[in-house]
Formats: sequence, structure tokens, C-alpha cells
Amino acid sequence: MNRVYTIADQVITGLGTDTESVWQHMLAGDTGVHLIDDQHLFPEAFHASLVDTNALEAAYSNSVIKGDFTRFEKLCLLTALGALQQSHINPAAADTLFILSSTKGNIDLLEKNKKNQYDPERLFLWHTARLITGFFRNTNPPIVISNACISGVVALTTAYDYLSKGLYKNAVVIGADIASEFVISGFQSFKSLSTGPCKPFDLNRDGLNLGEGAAAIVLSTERDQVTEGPALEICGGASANDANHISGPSRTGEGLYLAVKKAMEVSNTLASDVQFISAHGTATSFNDEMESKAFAWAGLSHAPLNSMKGYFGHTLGAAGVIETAITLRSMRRNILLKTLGFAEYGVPEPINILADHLETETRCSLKTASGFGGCNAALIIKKAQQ
Amino acid sequence: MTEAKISAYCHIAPGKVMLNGQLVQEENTTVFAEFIRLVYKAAGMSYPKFYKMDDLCKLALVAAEQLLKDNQFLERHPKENIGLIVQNASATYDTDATYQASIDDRANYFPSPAVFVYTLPNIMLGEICIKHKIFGENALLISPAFDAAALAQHLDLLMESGRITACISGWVEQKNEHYEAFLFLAEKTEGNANAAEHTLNAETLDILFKKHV
Repeated sequence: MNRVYTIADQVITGLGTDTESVWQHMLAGDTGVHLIDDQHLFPEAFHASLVDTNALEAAYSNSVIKGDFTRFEKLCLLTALGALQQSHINPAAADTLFILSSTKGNIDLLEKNKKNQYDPERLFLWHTARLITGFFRNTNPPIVISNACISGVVALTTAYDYLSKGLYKNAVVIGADIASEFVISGFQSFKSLSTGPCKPFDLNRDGLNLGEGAAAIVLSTERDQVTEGPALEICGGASANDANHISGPSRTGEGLYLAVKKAMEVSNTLASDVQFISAHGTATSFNDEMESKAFAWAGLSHAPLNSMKGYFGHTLGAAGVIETAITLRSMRRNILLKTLGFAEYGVPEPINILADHLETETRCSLKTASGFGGCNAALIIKKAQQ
Repeated sequence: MTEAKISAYCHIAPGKVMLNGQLVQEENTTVFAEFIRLVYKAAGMSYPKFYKMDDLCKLALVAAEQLLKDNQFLERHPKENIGLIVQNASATYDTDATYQASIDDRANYFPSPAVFVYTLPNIMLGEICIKHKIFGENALLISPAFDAAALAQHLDLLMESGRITACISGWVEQKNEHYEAFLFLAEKTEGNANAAEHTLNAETLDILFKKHV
């Protein structure tokens, strides 16, 4: 089995258009979640974290990317390019694999006024993936994962599977989702949106904030590609279904528990090894309750845990990649970030929610996600041995 | 490569259901709504949730039923070791269009959670997991056409890692009036192979995929 190292990453969220800006804002306790009053997105004002269009367009026009790309495609291309430019990986090489994760991709192209502007194939994620590999002149068939909110974690797990078995040397894992009228109205119809900034794991939580964002993480089996120390490794992951309900999490946490248990097994990790959990923590009542049960069941009540949703909202299929990129920075800088929005303990089982930033060395982290369709996923990240 | 077998496979195409390459049901209608009810009834299913599902989920659910109804597959494997790995090209295009139509006009604005939840292609995996109490790996892969090589590779990696010992897998695609399902059962072999089984690899999958009338 080859080891799989994280080489470079790029994040775009409501907090900034590169990982370091996003990280610095998170350290300062800033949020990208604001009250949005945009009739085009939703008839009433709502709280969400949107990527600043001027900042996105500035990043785009300063880049080498030229062409008529949609907002979603720009997010994918800019994050992939941004990450690759910090590495020495050749994106066109035969041993480089591209993986794209998203829930809804270019869904805004279904809107009346955009429908006839683009080729109808543009709607499909396989098309976006080929547009990305075409831009980087990579001829391998890209992998596309569209598995609701666990897409990003499954994409990273899949990259690990392919690289650890030696099928490719490098992988570029991209996760992206835009804020659209489609998705905002859908979550609103479910009454899952919070009335204010979200409060993960808090007693008074009342729903989630949607977030728009993207991230790319470059992985390689070659340790000498690591440019920023200490070297970090993706050590494998797993997914599981809780076979309970298509639009609500299991009441017992069994699916997430199984995903976590399997991720620990495949990566030879004991519960006592886990020093940080980047939880999903959407701040809906049922989700956060379910997570507390699963983590306690898995013997992880000790591990400091956060949800990053208070900083840049729930970025859907991108969440797993964005939050893993931030977790990598936490492990390099020895700072675990507080759960923004959390004040009063509000879940049934004991878990160790970070209410303040914590300076500590973290050698082993767990990243999880859960989503519609009863799906759950977990991924293990470790500091590489010297 | 992990040695694994395809122990059963099923095709559903307009007006036709085939199991292991044999025609098991043929109807005069190819209209999806009419045809899928006839398939549901012929399979002896009694599952009221079926009527709430969108077309993609209905198609996936009845295809899985063909494979599982006279088969001990679910008894042979722990439920947390059974994966659901399915490819599709158009995600939930039809349901997306239906949902978008409900929000296009602000004077006639009716977003429905019952429609919205079906705008995620992995919901069909969830529906099969719920009906059969399956807890294993889930992945919905988007591909412009059925990609036997990618699917065989994905299943092999999952089996080799030990995360699954068996899988319900294949291709379920539905867009406009077109619909097509090819699902199969893949199982790690422990010396119980019989003559009817096929080795799991890209070549076999390609041959089986094309084996419908």
C-alpha cells in the first residue's frame, strides 16, 4: 500500500478566495454568513454565506483561465488551478487523476433566463469534469461523485483508494457547489434554514445556513512532493447508509457510527488515537443530535470537535473537501478552531465541542459528513512519521 | 484483483424486464408510469412508499427487487458489508426540471420538499437501503455512459479494502422518455461459485450490459 500525502490546497468561500485568507478569517472568528436580501435567490431575506462575486471575478481575471465559464465552473477551475500552482505536480501527466464532487453542479442553468444561454449538456456533472480535465490537458477519465452532502468526503476516500493501490501517483480532488434559487428554496421548503447565523450543537440551534464554496486538494504518493511541513497523510475512509429515512438522519446514529468504525479499521486507528473531529454539525436539531450519539458510541467523546458551518455555512458537496483543507491547516499550525455559533451544550450524548480555539498538536484527525438519502462518510488524516 | 462474481443481473428497458439475460416480463406499453406499475405488481411488491418516489427511484427499486426477491444474497452477507455503487449520466434531470418549474414563476411559487428531496441522484441508493435494511458503502458516480471499466475498478478497490464483501451495482438512467436500468449483484467468492456465475471484471460487465433485447 502506498502512502498518500496532501500536497497543496485551495479554498474559496464567503470568507475569501484562497485557503490562507479563509483560515485567517476563521482564526479571527469572522463569519461569511450574512443576511442576504436578493429577490433572485429567494423572495424573503435569509442567512447564508455567499462567495463575493467581485472577489471571484477578480481572481478569475487575474488567472490564466480564459473562456465563457459559469460560476460553478469558475469555482472548480480556480480552486484546482490555485492548488496545482502551489505544487510541482503535472496535471496533464498520465499518472494524475481528477475527481470532482458536487451535489448540484450547474443547476442554475435550468433557470428560465439562463436555459438557452448554454449547451444543454453543460448541466451534467460529467460535462464539468471533462471541461476541467480538458483545461488541464489530462486525458484520464475523471471520476465524479454526486452523493449529496457526503460527496466531498467520498471523493477524498476514493482518491485514497486509487492512490494507495498504485493506480495513479497524484490526484486532484475538487469539491464545489453554488448558491442557487433551486437549492435555497428547496432547503427553505424543508424548513431546515436557520432564522439567524447557525448554532451547531447548541441548545438553541434552529437550522442550517447554506454556503457557497469550493476547494481542491492535491494528493500524491510521493513524499518529496510535499512543499509545506509537517507532512500530512490521508489514511483512508469509509461510507455507510443508515437505512432509515431519505430526508432525516437515523435517531440512533448507526450509519455514521459504522462509517467511523470502518474508517478507523481501514486506517489502523484506535478511538484513543483520534485527537480532533471535524464534524458535519449542520446545526439542524436532528443532525447534531445524531452525530453526538454516533461519536459517543464510537468511543470518541474525548476528542475535541468542531463544526465549521458557522464560518462559511453548509457548502453541500464541497463541504468535505473545504473542511478537510481547513483541518490540514489546523494540523500544520497546531490550532483547533472553535465551533462558531456554539454557546450552550445542546446534544444528548457527551462530546467534546470546541467553544474556543485550542492550541495543541494534532497527530490524527477524523473528518465526517452526513447527508440526504441516509448517507454518512468518514475519513482519517494523520501526521506522517518522521 | 479480488476474486468476485456477478451472481445475478437484471435489465429494465422500455416495455421489457430481463433477469440473467432471459426475458421475464414484456408489456405493450413503454410509457414509464404505466410500465413501471406493471413491473411493480408482477414482482409481487407491496410497498406504499413506492408511489411517493420519483421515476428514477422507482426504476432503481424495482430493478433491485428483481435481483433480490428469489435470492439469498441478503442472507449471505452482513448488511453493513453490502455496498450500493451506481452510475448514471443525467443525475435527476427530470425531477430537477419539475422542481425548477415550481419556482420559475413568483406568482405561482410552490417549492415542495417532497419533490426537492428527489433532486439528489443518491436518493435511489437510500431507497434501496431503506427497503432492504442495507448499511454498507454508498457511491453515486456520474458518467456520460455506462463505464464498465470504471465500475469494475471501483468495486474491486472497495472489496480489496475489506469495506464490502458484496454489492448491488450497475447503471440506472432516466431522462425525458428514456429509461434504462442494468443492476447486478457482485459477491466476493469463497468457493461457492456455481456455473451460472460470471467473474467480476470490465469485460464481463460490458458483455452483460449489452445482453438485452
